[in-house]
Amino acid sequence: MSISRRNVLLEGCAIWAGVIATQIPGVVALAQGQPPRRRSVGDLQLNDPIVQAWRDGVRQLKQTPASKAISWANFAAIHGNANAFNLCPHGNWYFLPWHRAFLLMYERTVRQLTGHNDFALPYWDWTADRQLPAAFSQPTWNGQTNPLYESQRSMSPTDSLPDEIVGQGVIATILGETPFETFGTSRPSGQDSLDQSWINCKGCGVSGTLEATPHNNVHNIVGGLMGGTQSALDAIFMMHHCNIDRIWAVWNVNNQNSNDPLWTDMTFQNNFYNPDGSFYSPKVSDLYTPETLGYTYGLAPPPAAAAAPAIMALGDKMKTLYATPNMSSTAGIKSFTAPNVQHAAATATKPLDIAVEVDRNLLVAAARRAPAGAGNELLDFNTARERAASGPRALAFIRDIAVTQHKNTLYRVFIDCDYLSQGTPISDPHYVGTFGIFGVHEDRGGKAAAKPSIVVDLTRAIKRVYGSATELSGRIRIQILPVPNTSTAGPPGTAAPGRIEVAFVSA
Amino acid sequence: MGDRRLRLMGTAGALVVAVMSQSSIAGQDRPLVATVTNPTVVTATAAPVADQGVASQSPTRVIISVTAFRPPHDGAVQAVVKVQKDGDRTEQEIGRFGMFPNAEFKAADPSKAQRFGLPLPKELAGGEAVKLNVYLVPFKGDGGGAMLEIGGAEIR
Repeated sequence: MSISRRNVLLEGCAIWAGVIATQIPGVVALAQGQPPRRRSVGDLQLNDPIVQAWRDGVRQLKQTPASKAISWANFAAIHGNANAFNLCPHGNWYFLPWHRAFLLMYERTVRQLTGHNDFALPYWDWTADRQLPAAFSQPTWNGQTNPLYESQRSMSPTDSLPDEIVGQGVIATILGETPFETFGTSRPSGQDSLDQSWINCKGCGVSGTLEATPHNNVHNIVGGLMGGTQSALDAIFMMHHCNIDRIWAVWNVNNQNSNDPLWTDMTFQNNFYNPDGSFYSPKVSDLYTPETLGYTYGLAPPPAAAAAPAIMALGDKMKTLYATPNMSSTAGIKSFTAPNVQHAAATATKPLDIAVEVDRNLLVAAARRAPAGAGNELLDFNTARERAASGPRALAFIRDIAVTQHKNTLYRVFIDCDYLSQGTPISDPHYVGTFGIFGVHEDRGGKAAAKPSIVVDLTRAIKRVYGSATELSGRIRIQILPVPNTSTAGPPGTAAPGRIEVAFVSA
Repeated sequence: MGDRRLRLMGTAGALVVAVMSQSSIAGQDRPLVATVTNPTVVTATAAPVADQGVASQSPTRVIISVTAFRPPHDGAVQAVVKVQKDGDRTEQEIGRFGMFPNAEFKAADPSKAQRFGLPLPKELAGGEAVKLNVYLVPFKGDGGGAMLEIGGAEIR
């Protein structure tokens, strides 16, 4: 589907959604504007209405007997039971469209059950949020059993998905794969008809990176029910597959689906349910565009490169900050200095842990800022940078650092990590960044060099750590942990900053 | 004496040929099995052009066929695939995949094998064949009990 046609569909989505919706029992037609937007669960607070609607919908479905068509157990059984997969395709080209329709069944049902017509399934963006979303890892919520929690999972709340499975490099590989049968897994070998048996011909095609690497491995790493044929019994399944679905939508911005009739014309006959219990039997070609199905990821074609006022304004403020170390506040900048930093040093066994009292409201603003994205998805880095520059951000200035053994030491920065140790990986959500020191303390013609200062951007770590927190204090702990810079390096050195400031900057 | 020597040489030669034949048969027909402690090596050869189909439109990939899998006693494993680089005797990872569901699997026949496509970098894609090191790597624990059987690999 070309971008221009997609634009027409986006602009006319209200009309389309209304037309489609009126033909589907139990679905409310949307009068105006975009359909409900699927958002990252990492950006939603635990009491966000979307999270609450999902909880309520899952709870109601779980409380309904399995004998009913509209029940948690019966929906999951469509995918598979304890012994085998049922209707769900894996390892062939129906993988993506079938799971899109499967998710749609849940989304529409939850709208019907909860009356929340703006509900849209959140997705688990495991590239940005490597740990299980908090809403799914708490056994209880508001004094009740949490229907989103599963005790059988192998993945603990503090485990992190690795870069090799879900990192930006993997996503870049996925989005660069063409044509559709490479990206979305290929047709079953030997397929020569639209017989229903080709849909769940297991592993008959060639799995692309999307299915083989993040899809399969996240299932297995989460483990428990998610690792097996009953995976749809775990409520995190839908968030995981929502992200897979979103990646397909992102890929479609620049790439077209297959036009082979053996794919486009396949009907998932009586595979799913409408909210009223009647069968929902879409064809693959009915499932191309989220907006026609009643939801959106808010993907827009990349705009032409233009002037970047936010980037320029941010740059001016950064110059001011660099030039004025002791500044406390000016328009768009608010700085807070940690007391009693002198004489405190970071060592390998005892990281430096300095609390900085800040304005709670500014911390909230940074934690809640809308995600900007890196630009990789639409390959529009200018727009991504402009969006990133326009929101509130928090920076830590670590000044006048006295170091030892700097030549074999990396200095890792974290925030508010209660379990920080040499074993804490850089994939941990509390991780901010790493700095090294080169050529310090060298006597230059009889004059001692100034001690180095560095600045690190705390914003993304603040979003990860505080983004879904319901209560925030006005304090942030800056932590510095020295680690060896190679496996053969000797013991790491130390770092003793003379001053630590946290500055909140808005362009 | 000369005849006996000739006969001995002939016998030895036949034995050598037999041993080599066994080795080559082992490389092609005996299943290639990777465990956590023992990776396996599989040679991927270029698929015939007629078999390429849609794949001929896309960048080069290695297609790996998995004919059997057994999960570890505890947790999960992933297959990590690296290309051997003869020039400097190093290896380069080209991708990794997981088996889903995380359950025992045995293909009833080769057509039921699970297949995974991994991108092959251009600088490695020029020859007729590449050798792949397939490692089985646990996510947690030691991955004991896990096994991955490779039915074959080809370049497309």
